[in-house]
Amino acid sequence: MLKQNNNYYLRLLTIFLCLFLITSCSKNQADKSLQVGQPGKEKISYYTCGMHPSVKMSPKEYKDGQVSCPICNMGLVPIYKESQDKSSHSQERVLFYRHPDNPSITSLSQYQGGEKFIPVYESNQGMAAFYGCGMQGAEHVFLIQDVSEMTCPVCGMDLIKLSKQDADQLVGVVARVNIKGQEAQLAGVKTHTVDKVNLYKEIRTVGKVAYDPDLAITEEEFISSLVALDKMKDSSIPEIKDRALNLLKSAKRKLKLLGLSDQQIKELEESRQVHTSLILPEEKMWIYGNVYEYELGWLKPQSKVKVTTSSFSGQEFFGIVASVNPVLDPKTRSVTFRAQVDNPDLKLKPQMYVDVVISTAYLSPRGELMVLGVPKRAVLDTGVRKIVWVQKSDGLYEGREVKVGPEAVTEVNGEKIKFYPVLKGLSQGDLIVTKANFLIDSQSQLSGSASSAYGGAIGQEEPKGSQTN
Amino acid sequence: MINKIIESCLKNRFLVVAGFIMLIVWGFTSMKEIPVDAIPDIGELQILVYADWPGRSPKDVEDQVIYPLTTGLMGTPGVKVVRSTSAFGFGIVNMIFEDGTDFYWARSRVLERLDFAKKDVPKDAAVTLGPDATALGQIFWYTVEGDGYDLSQLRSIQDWYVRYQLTSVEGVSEVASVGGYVKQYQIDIDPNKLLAYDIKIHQVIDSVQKSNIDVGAKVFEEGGIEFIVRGLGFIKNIADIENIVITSKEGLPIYIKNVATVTIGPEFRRGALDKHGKEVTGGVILMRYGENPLLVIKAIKEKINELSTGLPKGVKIVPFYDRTGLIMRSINTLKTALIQEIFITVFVIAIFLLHLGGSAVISMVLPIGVLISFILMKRLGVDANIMSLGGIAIAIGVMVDSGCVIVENIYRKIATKAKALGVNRLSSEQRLNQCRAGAKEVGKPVLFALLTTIIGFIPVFVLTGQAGRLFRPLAFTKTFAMAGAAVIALMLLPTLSFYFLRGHLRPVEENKTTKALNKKYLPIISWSLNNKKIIAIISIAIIFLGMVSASFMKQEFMPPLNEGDLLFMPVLLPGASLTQVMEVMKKQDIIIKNEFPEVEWAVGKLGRAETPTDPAPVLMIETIVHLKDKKFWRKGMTREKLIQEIQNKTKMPGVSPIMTQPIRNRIDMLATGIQTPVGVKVFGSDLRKIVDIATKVEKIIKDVPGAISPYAERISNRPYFEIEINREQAARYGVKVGDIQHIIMTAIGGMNLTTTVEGRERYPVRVRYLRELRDTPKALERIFVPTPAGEHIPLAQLANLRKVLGPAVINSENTLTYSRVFVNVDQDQVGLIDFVRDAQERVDREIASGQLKLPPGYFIAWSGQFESEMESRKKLIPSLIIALSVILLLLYLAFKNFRSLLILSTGIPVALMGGIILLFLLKFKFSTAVWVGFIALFGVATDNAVVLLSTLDNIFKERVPKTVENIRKTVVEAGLLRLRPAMMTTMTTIIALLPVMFATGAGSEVMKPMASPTVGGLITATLSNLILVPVLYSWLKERELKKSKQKA
Repeated sequence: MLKQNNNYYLRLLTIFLCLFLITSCSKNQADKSLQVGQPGKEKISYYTCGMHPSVKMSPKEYKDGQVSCPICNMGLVPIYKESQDKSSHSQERVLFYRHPDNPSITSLSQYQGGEKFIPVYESNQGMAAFYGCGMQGAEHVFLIQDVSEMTCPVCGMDLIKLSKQDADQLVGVVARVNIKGQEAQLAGVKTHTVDKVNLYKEIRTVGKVAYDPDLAITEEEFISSLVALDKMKDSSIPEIKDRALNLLKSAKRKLKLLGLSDQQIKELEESRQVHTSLILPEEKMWIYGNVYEYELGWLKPQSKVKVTTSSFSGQEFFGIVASVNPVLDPKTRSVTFRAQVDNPDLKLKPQMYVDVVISTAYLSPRGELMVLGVPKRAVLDTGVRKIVWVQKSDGLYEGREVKVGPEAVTEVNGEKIKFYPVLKGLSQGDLIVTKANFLIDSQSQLSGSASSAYGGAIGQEEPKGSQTN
Repeated sequence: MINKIIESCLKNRFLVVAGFIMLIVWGFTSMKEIPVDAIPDIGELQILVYADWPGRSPKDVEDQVIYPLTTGLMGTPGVKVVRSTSAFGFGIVNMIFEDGTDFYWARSRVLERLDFAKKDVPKDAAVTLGPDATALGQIFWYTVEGDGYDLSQLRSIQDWYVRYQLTSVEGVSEVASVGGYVKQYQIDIDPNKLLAYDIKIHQVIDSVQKSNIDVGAKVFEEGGIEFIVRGLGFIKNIADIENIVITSKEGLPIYIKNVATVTIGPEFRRGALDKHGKEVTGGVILMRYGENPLLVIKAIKEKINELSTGLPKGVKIVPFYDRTGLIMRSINTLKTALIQEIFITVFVIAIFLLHLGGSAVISMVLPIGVLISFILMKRLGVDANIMSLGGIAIAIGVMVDSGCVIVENIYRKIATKAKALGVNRLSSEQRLNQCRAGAKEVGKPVLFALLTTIIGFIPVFVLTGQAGRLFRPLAFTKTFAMAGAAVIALMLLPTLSFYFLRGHLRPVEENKTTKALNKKYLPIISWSLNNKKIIAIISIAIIFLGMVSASFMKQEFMPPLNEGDLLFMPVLLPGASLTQVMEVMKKQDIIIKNEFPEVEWAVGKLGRAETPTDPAPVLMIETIVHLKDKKFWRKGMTREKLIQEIQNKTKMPGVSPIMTQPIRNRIDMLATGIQTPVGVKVFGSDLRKIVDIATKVEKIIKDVPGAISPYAERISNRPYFEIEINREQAARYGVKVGDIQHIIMTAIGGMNLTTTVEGRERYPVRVRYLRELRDTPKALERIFVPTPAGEHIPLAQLANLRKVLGPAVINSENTLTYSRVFVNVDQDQVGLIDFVRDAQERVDREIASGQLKLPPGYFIAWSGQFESEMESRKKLIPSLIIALSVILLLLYLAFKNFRSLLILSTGIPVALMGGIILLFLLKFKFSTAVWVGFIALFGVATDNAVVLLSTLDNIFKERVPKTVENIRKTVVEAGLLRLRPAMMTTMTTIIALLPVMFATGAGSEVMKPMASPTVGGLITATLSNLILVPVLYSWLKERELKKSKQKA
């Protein structure tokens, strides 16, 4: 073997080394870090930490994965630059209508004074700008094109061109974020159109089926004094008449103290029938219940009442609140109310313990029954502020600060759902996110698209005067 | 002394052989017993103290548990720093000890202190010492699955059957349950009914607590028989609870069932486990510190097999993370590399020596040397892992050097002697003499070479911090291997040579390999000697090229180890609820399992397993993705691509998809303190104030040259619902604050009143308001507080209820809360230490000028990785200087003149640059691994030059050449003489490392950068040794000649 070539081994070695060098070089040894950037497709704006979104590192500072989150030492994730102008919005929303001849006359409905108004669409195209009349609230701000001398269709004042910040401030927009349809679907985003709903409040309490001989006797006294008065009516002796009248008055006062309303007393006066149901089971029974001071505002005569009892589980008895005691029980800080409920088959017996649910309709400050409502789960509430996420167009979400009234419920498809009446921040037709809104809120913090003061509904506080790069 | 050893060894040949056979047996047993893990534990030595206080807010945990606890634990001997974290429902105190403290010693010191520290902590907060395991201890995860069983049943099986049985396995420190539901008897009170029956909530609590007990009452005698008396009264089922009487009113008993519903339900949980979208329950096994994971896992698996027969039908224990695979893979990578190295080395020796017996003798060094290092590792407690085995792997090529030198020399002696005597073979007496002479002749140089290699590694021994923990084992094993090789070379090889180098030995000059080498070398060296300037230019060019490449290379701390399994770790922002996180996890797990054929299984965990070593908050998902074998992957799919695709397909808004690896992540999660090069800690008591100060410091540091994105920690918020008691109102009703708080705790939070005893199983009984009556702020207003006067007052009338934002976690160090400013430093622009000095100056100036106000009790401290760098530098520089000077001293002792030192030192930069050029070509980054590789290189780079120089000196001493031609001729002659051994030693070293360079398995990514400097460096070093050194030597000699001629 060696005879053939003295240099055989040396050559072999050289070839070996060369081959080795070549193969090793061609191997891709580049980036071993597990956080691989998405090559080419989108430009990385900066890197951030999934738990500490205020950490921001430029790609230069990121140093190909050598730098991790300074707080938790976890790897950083890239945030891609969002393409600024979203092209073509197929769905255009009608904002309001304007007079065909005089554009300064605007209206919220298409027909006014027998004339057909021309719709004005919301526009996101190049020339569009924000206009508003200076009033706070989403309904006073419009994103439209070519406006010359229009008035606000809501309040009739002139529309002025607004800067984006001003418009955001007036509308209450705190953040915007773009989310791809597929990602939103994966996150389970569900939306709901803001509409006017009937809201009512439910108060749960316990009560007893009335067994009130005192009241029955007082009622009897009252009726007999009425009868007596009738008899004495023609009496010529004023003293007797006065005495009967006094008797009636004191009986009336006693009834009131025991909790009957004027209305009920009047009814009693007319019917002249003692409520025997106060002592015996009858077709209509009285329920006595207690409601706490702080719930008093919701307790109104004529409110619907639903009664259940453990004796007949599953059966519900319905009725209405008849009266509310005028005096507060100092011991329990509660007020007794009376409700009259139907008692089919005479199942409710006096002295029975019952569970009572009172439902009262919510009235808006203006006294309307139908109010704009937002499902409770759409509202991210931290006590500091309440944020609702509005889907503007496919993929664009807008966080708005809202003001809402007291929590109430409404029925949607036979299901009781908790709602808030909206006082400010949303308008009819807004598409709001009811599910995965926490994720959208988080994304707005991660991608930093939120306005600088906004740290998310629940999030990190940005101390004053700090600059994040 | 060396000569004596060699002599006595050759005299007692049988004893030597027998002794080494015993050593081999010992080595094998050590190898089998040594604990094997994938990577060394690079975490700091920390002892965890864990405080469990269910349902409490971070603020309460900090104020009432962690603060008193840390004050008590301060001053434990050996503690560097005490850090703590308070989170929702628990707090962890990390006690970080000085490096080198014994683990169990530290634990017992903490335990001593803990007794005292616990005294100020509320009774119901459970304070325990963490398990005796480290972050690396989580070696095995499993799920308990079974169709037709609900999660609480499975959890009961896990908690009461599987868990304790697995804990009994030798080497297991703790088995922690995760996921599923703990069964709980739930008494849900209807407050309206309490009101109606006029019962107070504490009456309910009292009655339940007093209705669950078994007692003993000694014995009585009857007819000479003793009867043990027992009173039975443990709660056994729902009916037992329902029929607990609270009180009686007018002769009628009022039972629990009258005012509450009793059900079996899930206990409040802070963790869940999910497998492919289906919730499961499971556990994690923590291995005790210092155990052998392979053995422990094996025992665990045996135990699981035993247990499985006793499991209910259809229930099985399925592992989803098993460290064995990774350990075996990385060890196999090294094992294959080691075996390949040994074979290749033997092959190379055979080529150079062309004598079978001789090659066999030399190759003995390798297996026995490796076994000796295992014995030393076992004795000195160095565990086997990729770093320590890597130390042996990079030593292999160098190990044979001493063997080569000795055997080669003996061979030459015997052959020359035979030639001189004109016989074909020597008698055994003559052979023995030649062996002795040959070994003695090179005994000293061999020892000397060994010393330089070991001394060269001193800087690695003094590395501190993570780098130290990572590379010290490597330095140890390499030293062990070298020492082992030296012992074998000096003691065993002469003896073996005596036995194997018999028969006719062909003289070295007639060796074909030698002839071939000489034929190549002769023209090169002759040309070089005539063209010295060109050689000098080439050398300078190589150095220049290396410097250029170095400037292009990037830095990294450690090349990441490929663990095989992936850990997908999406995180949500603080405030996310368990339900929300669960939904994200389920969807992602389904996608990962169903859309990626490469994935074998994906099991996700959210929140914590019930162990102190897992502090993960609920918002953190950790999904272990186990990949199938590469051959089942789609075509063209790589690990990087797969990671990218998983991240893309599971992308959700608000969820950050972090991809890491299980072990790496565990280490990171438990690392505390500042991980950036520089950090500023602002200490103080008011969280808000310290954050303000930290933000100002951030602004100041931003202007310091070299600062990269300084970042001050923000308070990360989560929503709180605070019930602030109005003391005046409470006084009006005569209610004490404590009574109200008790109601809040029980009615809103729910409180475990007692525990049922059902055979081996125990379940909590808790009381709470009906869910719908406590899960909204409005409902909370209606919580009744009974007054001494018998009234029931709703909470809203006694307290202000409000939603506020509060801290999600509270961190403190040495009992003070602090906020950190993290600073990265552009170290190309400014040195770390200069940067810190500059930044400190600026901050101090701002404080002095009043721009930055520090209220009393607030102060600033500087910290970060620069500390350990400073510490390292403090030790590294002197140790480098010592190492260098010792090597130089040894060299000087060998040559006794500075000229030789000068010539020798020219080889070092050439070798360094060769290493850098190869690294650059292979696209590796500078890392500590690379530096260790360089240190290993320096140990061997000049070895051949030393030998060549001494030969040159010897020859020039024998005859003094008078002309330039003669000088050159003599130099060439000396070069030819040393060519074969030089080529042999370098070739073995370079080629022995090739298997490491070509390895692709687990662990190779750390080893490759470490091996490259040696390979690249030795290539250039050999060229320099064989060409540059003779050229310089001849140049010096020629100059001397010229001078002496001028004088003459």
